Amino acid sequence: MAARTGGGGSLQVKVVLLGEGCVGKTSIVLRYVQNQFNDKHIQTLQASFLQKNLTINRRRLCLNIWDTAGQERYHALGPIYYRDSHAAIVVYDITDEDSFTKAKNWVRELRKMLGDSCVLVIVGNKSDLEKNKVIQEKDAQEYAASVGAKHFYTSAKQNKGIEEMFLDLSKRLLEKEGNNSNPSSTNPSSTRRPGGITVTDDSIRTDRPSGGGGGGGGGCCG
Amino acid sequence: MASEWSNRLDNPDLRCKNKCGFYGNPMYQGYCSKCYKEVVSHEGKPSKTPAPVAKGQESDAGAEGLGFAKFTRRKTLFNSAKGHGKIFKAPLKIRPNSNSGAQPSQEEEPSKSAKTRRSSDSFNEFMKTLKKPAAQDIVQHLKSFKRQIVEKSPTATIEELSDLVQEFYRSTSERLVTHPLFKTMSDLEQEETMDGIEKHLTTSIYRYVFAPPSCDDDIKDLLFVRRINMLHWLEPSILDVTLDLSNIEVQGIVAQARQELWNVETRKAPQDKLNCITKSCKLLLDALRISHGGPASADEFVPGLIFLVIHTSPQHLQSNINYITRFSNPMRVMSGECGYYFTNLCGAVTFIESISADKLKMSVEDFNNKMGYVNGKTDADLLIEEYDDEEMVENMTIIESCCEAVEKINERLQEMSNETDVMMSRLDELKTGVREQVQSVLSGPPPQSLYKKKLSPVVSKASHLPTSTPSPQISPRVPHYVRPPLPVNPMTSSGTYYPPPTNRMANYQQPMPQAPYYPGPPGYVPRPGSYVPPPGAHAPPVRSYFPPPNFPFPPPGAHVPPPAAIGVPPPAVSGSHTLVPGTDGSRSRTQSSPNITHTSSPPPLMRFN
Repeated sequence: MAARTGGGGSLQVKVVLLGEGCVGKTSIVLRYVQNQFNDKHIQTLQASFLQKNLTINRRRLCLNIWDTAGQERYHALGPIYYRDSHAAIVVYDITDEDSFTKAKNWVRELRKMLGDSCVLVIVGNKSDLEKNKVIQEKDAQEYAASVGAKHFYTSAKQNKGIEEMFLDLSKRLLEKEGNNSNPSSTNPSSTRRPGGITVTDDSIRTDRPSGGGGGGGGGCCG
Repeated sequence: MASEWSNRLDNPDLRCKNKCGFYGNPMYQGYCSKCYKEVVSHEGKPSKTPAPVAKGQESDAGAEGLGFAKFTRRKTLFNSAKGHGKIFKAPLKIRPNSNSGAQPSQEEEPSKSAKTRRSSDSFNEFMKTLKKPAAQDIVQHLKSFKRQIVEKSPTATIEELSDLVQEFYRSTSERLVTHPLFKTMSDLEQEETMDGIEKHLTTSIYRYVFAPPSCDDDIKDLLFVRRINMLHWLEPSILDVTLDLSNIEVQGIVAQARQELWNVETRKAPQDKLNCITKSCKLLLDALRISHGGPASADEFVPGLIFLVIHTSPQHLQSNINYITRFSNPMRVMSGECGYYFTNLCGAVTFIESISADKLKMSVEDFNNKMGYVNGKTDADLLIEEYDDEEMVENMTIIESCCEAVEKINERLQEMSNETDVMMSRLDELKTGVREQVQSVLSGPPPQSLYKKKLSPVVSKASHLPTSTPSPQISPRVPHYVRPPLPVNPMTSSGTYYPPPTNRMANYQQPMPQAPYYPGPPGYVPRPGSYVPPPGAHAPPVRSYFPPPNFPFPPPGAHVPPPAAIGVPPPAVSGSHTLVPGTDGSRSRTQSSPNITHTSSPPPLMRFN
């Protein structure tokens, strides 16, 4: 479960985005990675897999953000996606009670499958629609605290709370990683190679043209 | 003199203009041959050096120089159309408008071949590195490991092999860090070296570890393809696929994505397979983006991928997924872009396997009808049962019957070899018997006649044979036309004079078989319809040509006239009567044959049985 250290000292972490369809998972991540919010994201080819490089206290971090399908029929595929993930962002819509119930389901499943090893964030999106809010902040905060998660309000439309949410997530990831000083030694049975792939910089990663990624090197940030 | 030479050699004008230290040549415009090549290629002139080519990978694509790029591209296009046409025709047929696929593929081709060249470059670099003497220990390690896998593959389970390979990756990457040759390299280069090792290893052990008979990957493949075939009625709208399939551009990109998914089966190394999956997914995302004018999120991508898999129906998708999971470097599968798309593909496969009425938001009856389920069986077990019942059992019975047949053949072979042994020993016995006989004859009484000598041992030997296999052929049957040679006049000829045979020969012979039937003198052909001896009847012995020894005494058991009549010519000789009892009416001809003239020979009508 420990994050792998990249070749350039960059920590590779897998962050999985969970939540019901139409709660704004994709908008949040697009806003964060590329700082855009549009009905038509023209420059972006896809928003299902995005990477973001960060430097926090001179430690480098590469967030691999995995978007998942929110439709109910794909709910059963969840474990395939969040297996081995280091962090999970469970998103709900503050104007939709049902989405909060779904979020609770996701959290329960995550805790069941991954235990406490996963850094968990619960996000109430669409905070700009304050007047239609049906999920009370107190309930949400209490629930988050009860499952060991942090709760944030975000608005992808107004770009509120997103940076903070990801920054907090990254800090917690680094803290966690600091506790496990040497990930490969803590898990000797793991067959993962200690050497990572990447030399990362903090420039915003944009999507590579289709067909050009991956390469023979199989790099993820390369 | 010497200093004059060295002065001339030290003349800087003779040196390469590039100041590389080597001598230049006016033919190369004052450069040395190496620098000339580099300078010329930098100037963009057609270079004669062929671009490095990956082994077995689109070798024709990279074989031409830069000046032939256009030609190469066309050739690649042609080859891909020719080579994959047959394979991809069937799945591509599902597309209503397949000719639209050609247009975008031409646009896509240059970047594709460039990519191929790049990856082949890195692999070539790796192979070059391996040739260095310092890397020999790595090469030896790799070779011995390959041998180990090949040796273990028939007995070990696939999980054991997978563990071995993963352990090998781990130990090798640790070794690279401290290796004198590789430790100076950057992390990226080490990474590429590991990729090269992985590619080299998996390609060489591919046929031992891809869907081996010890696991049931191939059955999973069959079931999966069967499942997909049952889902042929799935419309994109049922799955919430947002692909705009009426758009020609989208159609073309989807066709390419489908082709990339097929290409997974043609690649051997896990990373190449993963690259195909990644390419396919990216093309699909591109098609989705065009379809609704924005970046595709996972909400659109996952249904799209399921649709793509169903309509591509790759034959060995399960085997490929398992192979990648087992033998790829885990880093690649678990993280990064490749990992994401691979995970999505696994998800799509899982979804297809577990597709059901409620997931498609349709009624159970409707779903059952469309899936062809009868008797209310909605389970995927039906598929397995079906396979168990029909094809599996059938195949198993065929295999069993084949095994039985092989066993039988083995038994018979064993029997045959046993019999051959017995026969050989009998032959030996016979040989020694013959030799003994010959010896005994030679050392025994004086020789009687040449032909007897030759014949008698064989004849008499027949009685020595073990009687386990009754062989009527061995009975002393000598053709009647064998006659004794005429006595040679001892006064005129050098030959030995043999006295005419006497009854003493009976010592060396079996008791003379009774001559039941005399076929007539040599050359006598019985008329059609006349009596022909049965096949078991004894031919007359050699001496029967002479007055038979027992003539005129009939053999025991013969139908003879009462003793009082002995000496009286039998009535048959007179031709007016028959000796044959009336029980044998079929030979009625003899009953009224008065014109028998062979009065000097045994009566032809005498029959003893």
